[in-house]
Amino acid sequence: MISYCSRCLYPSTKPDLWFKDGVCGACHAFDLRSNYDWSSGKQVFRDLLRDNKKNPRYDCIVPVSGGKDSTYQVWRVLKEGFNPLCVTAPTDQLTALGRANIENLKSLGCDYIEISVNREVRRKINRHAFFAVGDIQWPEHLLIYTIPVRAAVQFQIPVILWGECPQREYGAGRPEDAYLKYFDRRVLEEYGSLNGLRVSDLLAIQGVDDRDLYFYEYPSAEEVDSLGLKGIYLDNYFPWNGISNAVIAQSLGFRVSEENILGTIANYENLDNYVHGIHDYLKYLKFGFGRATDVACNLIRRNLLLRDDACALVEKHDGRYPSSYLDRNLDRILQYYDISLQEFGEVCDDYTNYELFLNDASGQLVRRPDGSPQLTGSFSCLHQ
Amino acid sequence: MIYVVNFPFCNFFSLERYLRVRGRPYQILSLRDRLSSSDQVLLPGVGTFGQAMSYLRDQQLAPLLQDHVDQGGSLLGICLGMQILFEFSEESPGISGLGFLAGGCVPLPTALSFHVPHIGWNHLVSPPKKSSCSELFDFLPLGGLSRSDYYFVHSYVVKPSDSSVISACFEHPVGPLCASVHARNISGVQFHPEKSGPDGYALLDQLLDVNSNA
Repeated sequence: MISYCSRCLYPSTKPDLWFKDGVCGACHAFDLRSNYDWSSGKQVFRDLLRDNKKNPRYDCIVPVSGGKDSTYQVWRVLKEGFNPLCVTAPTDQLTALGRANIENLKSLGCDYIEISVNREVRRKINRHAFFAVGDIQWPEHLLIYTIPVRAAVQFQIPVILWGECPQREYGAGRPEDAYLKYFDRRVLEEYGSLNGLRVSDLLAIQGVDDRDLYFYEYPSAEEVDSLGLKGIYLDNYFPWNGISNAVIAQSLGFRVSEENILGTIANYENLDNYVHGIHDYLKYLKFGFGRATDVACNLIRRNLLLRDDACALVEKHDGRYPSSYLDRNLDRILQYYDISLQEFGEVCDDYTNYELFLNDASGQLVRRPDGSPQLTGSFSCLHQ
Repeated sequence: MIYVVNFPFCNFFSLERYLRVRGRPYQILSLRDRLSSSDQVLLPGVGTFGQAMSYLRDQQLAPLLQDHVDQGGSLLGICLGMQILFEFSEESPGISGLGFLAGGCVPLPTALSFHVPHIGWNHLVSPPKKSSCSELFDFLPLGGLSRSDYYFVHSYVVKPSDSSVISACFEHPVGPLCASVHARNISGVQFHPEKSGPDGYALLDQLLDVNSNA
């Protein structure tokens, strides 16, 4: 049942991905962008920030994790002569490298705030979401969107400057999302990775109370409207390339991982959360592709990797059993949520889409030496 | 013409993308529109039953939809859009649905081997009673299993009073549950064909073409 984009390696099982003439939406969106005239982008960006200035000191909110992209974003805004307020919604299990990169970002020359939520409550939500929807990273997927909006209202700064439009970069969304300028609640409801779990559902978790969920929710529509809040994507105004972002960020002190990261082919992204590996493995079990595919596809589109070569890399690295992430072993990562390795295995089996993987004569999954299942399809199954 | 109800919180973008990629002209449904029986209305939806109905009430769109259905115009509900075709939902007690079909929505039964919310790709099985729209789904002749998978995200499931309106089911430990309905000019799918890749697009093509020929 799985088929692949004829240009990159995105599979038909990626929810919300559309195809035209055998080519996926992410590749179509990239083609559109290649024909952009970028010459006016800088001026449009400057006008937009000037026209929407409300806070006498700050020009925009930049949501930051300290990663390559947010380091680049802050650099870009400062370079254009504006004063951002940087806001971090910390990850679920911040890595040492992630902390070092946040500290580096704080040295770039702007004000910075970090908003942390009740750690014990968050831990319960992580655990609940892992069992309920197979996503251990659920709180982060919500808080990275809601916390900057809370900060925007709090400090009366009407522009939130996001990095790349994920719908465009990763292929979901409408072709004309290339022109999407305003970030609103609906984008989160539709494209945010909430997996059917809603904030109101969290109250069913023992030990989670309404008072703990302030930052998990958006401010009221009235507050957002009266501020005139706009979410804009930097990649509408300046070309976007993860590799050049990484180069610029490294020149500013951003550090990549010295070790290869299990399950992917890049050492310059997703460095800030120990649960990334678990999240990406579940994605592989559910949809038959993981982070190595995402990275490879981004490189293929930019002519930095040949599709044939990418096939070999992805086959080797994608969907590897996440026995460790950066410097931490899986059992220790899970221990933080009081999840045993056995429970982890059971949840993995529960969420595996068995039709995507090879079975032996007795109906058991054919596993690779590390324990991860072997895909049935090959990248030569092109979507027609 | 295809009209889409533009709920403030819903899968509108994905549906609109389908319509654009396929080159199907459409409009956002507004109170001013005069629908004819050859028009088709799409009811998308993500969120709660109560939210959706309160939007339709505030926008005064419910009577418009009622007239459209009475005139024989076709209506396709997707996910929550299918649930509100029915009379009620235990998700929002005391709130009436559109009531075009008899029955209501109940929480998905929890089971060891079935997670709620039901999220991800799943295949369909043929309904207990054959419905005129069952043929849209590519059920294998033996076993009544679909060749295609579709993407589901939901916590409630429709329980029609008249089981003959069920056009496809998904498997659940308690037995097959309703995945889609079809009755007269009204159809609904619990899953998201607009998010289900090539097979989902093909199904939407068929549903819209069948309805336009009806």
